[in-house]
Amino acid sequence: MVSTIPPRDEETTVRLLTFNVNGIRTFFHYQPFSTMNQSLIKAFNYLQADIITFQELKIEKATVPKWVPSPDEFLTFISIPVKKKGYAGVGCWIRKYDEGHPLFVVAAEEGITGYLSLKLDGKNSVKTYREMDQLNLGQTVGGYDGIEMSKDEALDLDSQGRCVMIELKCQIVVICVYCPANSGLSEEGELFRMKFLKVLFKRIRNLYAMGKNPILMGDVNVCRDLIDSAESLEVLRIPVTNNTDGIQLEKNYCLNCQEFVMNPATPHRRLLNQLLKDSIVPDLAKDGILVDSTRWLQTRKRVKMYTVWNTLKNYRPVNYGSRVDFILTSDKLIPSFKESDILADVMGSDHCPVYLDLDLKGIDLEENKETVKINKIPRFEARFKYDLMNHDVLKMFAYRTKLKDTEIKSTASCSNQITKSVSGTNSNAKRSRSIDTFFSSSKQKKAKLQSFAENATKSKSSAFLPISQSPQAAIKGANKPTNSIKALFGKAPLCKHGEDAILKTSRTSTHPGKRFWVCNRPQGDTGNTESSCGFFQWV
Amino acid sequence: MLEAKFQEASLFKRIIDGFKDCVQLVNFQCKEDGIIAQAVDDSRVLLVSLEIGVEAFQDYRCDHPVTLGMDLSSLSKILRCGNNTDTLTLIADDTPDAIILLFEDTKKDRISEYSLKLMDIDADFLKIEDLQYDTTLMMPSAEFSKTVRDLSQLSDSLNILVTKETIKFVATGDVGSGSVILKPFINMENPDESIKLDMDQPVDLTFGSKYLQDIVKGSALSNKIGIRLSSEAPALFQFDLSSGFLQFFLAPKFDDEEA
Repeated sequence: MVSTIPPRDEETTVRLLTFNVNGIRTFFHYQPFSTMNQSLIKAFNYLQADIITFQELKIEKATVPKWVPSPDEFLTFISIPVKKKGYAGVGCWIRKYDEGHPLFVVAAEEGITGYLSLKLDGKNSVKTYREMDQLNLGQTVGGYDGIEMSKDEALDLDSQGRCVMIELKCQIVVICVYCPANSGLSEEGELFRMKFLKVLFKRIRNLYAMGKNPILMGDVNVCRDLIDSAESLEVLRIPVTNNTDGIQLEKNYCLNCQEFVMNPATPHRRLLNQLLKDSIVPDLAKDGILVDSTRWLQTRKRVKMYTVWNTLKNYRPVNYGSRVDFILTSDKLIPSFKESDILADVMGSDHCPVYLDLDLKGIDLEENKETVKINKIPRFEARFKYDLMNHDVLKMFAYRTKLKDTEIKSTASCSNQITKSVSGTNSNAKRSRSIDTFFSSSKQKKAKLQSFAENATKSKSSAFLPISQSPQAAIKGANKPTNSIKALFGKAPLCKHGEDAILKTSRTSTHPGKRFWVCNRPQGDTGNTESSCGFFQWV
Repeated sequence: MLEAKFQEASLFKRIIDGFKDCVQLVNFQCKEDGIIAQAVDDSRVLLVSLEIGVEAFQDYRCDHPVTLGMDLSSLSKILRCGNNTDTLTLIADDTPDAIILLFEDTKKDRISEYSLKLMDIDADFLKIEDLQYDTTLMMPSAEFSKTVRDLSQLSDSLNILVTKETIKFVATGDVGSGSVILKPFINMENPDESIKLDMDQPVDLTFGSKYLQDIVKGSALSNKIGIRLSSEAPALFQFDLSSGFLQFFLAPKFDDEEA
């Protein structure tokens, strides 16, 4: 089944999308992504998404570069585990916007505690995010107050590649998480999970208090309500069909729904609900700051809106699952909500994507002028973080072609350096050249310059041969003196009149004896089409 | 009709192994005068350009130009099926949807035939012009390979500095640093062992170790590697075939400040 992606108005909305991909490589094996040649840009464009968070990338450092698309299109922020290779890992990709755009990235951080560190400009300058925040370096999202723990404890909590935070110019902080699940049901695992959630939620509250708009998107690994868990409904023997009205269900089983949240055996569920303004438990909701955007727009009427299914038991076709992937936004963003839903028929993982479309006009909020933000790509961006600052080879070739074009138009006053590059690029030689010709050609080039210097007008030397010809050919040429000079230089290029240019020899002190093509017509007034067109080109 | 016969299957295998790890989908353009191919890696840092001249084949015939889009990982699976000393013939018709690879063991009359489905690969073919370089050097490919592999252990980037008399490779990493200094010399008995250097301008360039490690996989093709460096053009690393070459154009790294 090929999924249909709901359309959106690209002019006025921004689409946020979160997806636990369960291995970024594997999801490219499924239709329609399998035809995309593992291109993230193609996948993102297909999903029509601008801010994308993926969880469970399951990549290691060596393969990170593959998932860093062209920085002209997306900025990439990836966190991978320190030790466990190919486990967990989260990534956030944000479309590249101009500085003035509300979605322009102003800061980025890895982890939830602020104790992870980052290499800054100099190789030797390594600082934790907390240190950078204190120094006001404009790299950090901030909000560490009240999160006190030993550095070792913090580093352990942040060692598994579970969170990246990106702050945008409009004060939205995108928090991409893959929360621990405690699938082994161990006491240790539960402790880790609770600690992670507590720190994360405290951080979100801090950011909210600072006037920012956190958006928590990702796999929280907690079911928030009874209607979000098929298994719990079954245990309670509550029948659910596609036609069930969720509001009615929650009314009928009100107590069960409250208990589901408040159950002391599931403290994580209670913790999550404390953060939610739309929690079913009014006591928890009153202190809530975030809203479950998908539930808000789909309303509690909708049941069986699951985002993860047990694939081993093949529960997906019968839609027996639970909902643990959320886009929880600051309540201040509610007026900007446009659309939100799960994309249940996008295959490739045991989870499905969840998206939220926000109205851009609504989020064009005032910029916070108090904090210093540098208008540079944050150093946590994948190219800096993973030392991938390579030039684009195609752009380098394109640049050279451009250079060549400008050269043809320019006049004799052009700089020595550009001329040099062109003497190489203009040769019409066959490209097939072995390594040996690298040397002979450059020697010829030297000989050529030398002989020009000695006698600018003498022409019977082999040095006049185009430099790129193979050495054998050069020797042949030397043995058989050629009849015409022109033949040695190849066909004359056409000037801007479309006529053959003529060959002249330079007499300037900078290029003695160097030959060039110019327009055959005499110099005249500028603008007079009958006079020289100014065409110039070194041989 | 394309019929291209390699005297030894191992040659084509070495060619493909030389670049299959950095690019996956490649268009091979077969023409009267040989086969050419070009591809850019996903991160658009490394460009591979291959040219196999007619003389590299035992027999070569190509009536009409034809483009063969292949997935190198599939192709190399098939190439592993042939013995190194088998002859290998590539066969395709004028509008092919598959290519036939025919391995023949001439001594034992053993013939094995494989067919590989072709793909439509949407890739531009860049006309690579001769670039101008500041420095040209040639050295034994094994020497270069070892240098790259040794220093890559220390750092993700490798610095190449060429001055008038020396070629210096430097890696500075978190655990420590290393450098290898080479000087040009001529080995009269075995010219391929020589190190040649021709420097117009000193260069100081840094490259991603990962890419250099991909490049040295081409070492099986030739005893020597030609390297041309310039501060403005992508660096060229070239391995020669008996006719043709495998070229890697690598974009250097830039400093933090330039971003």
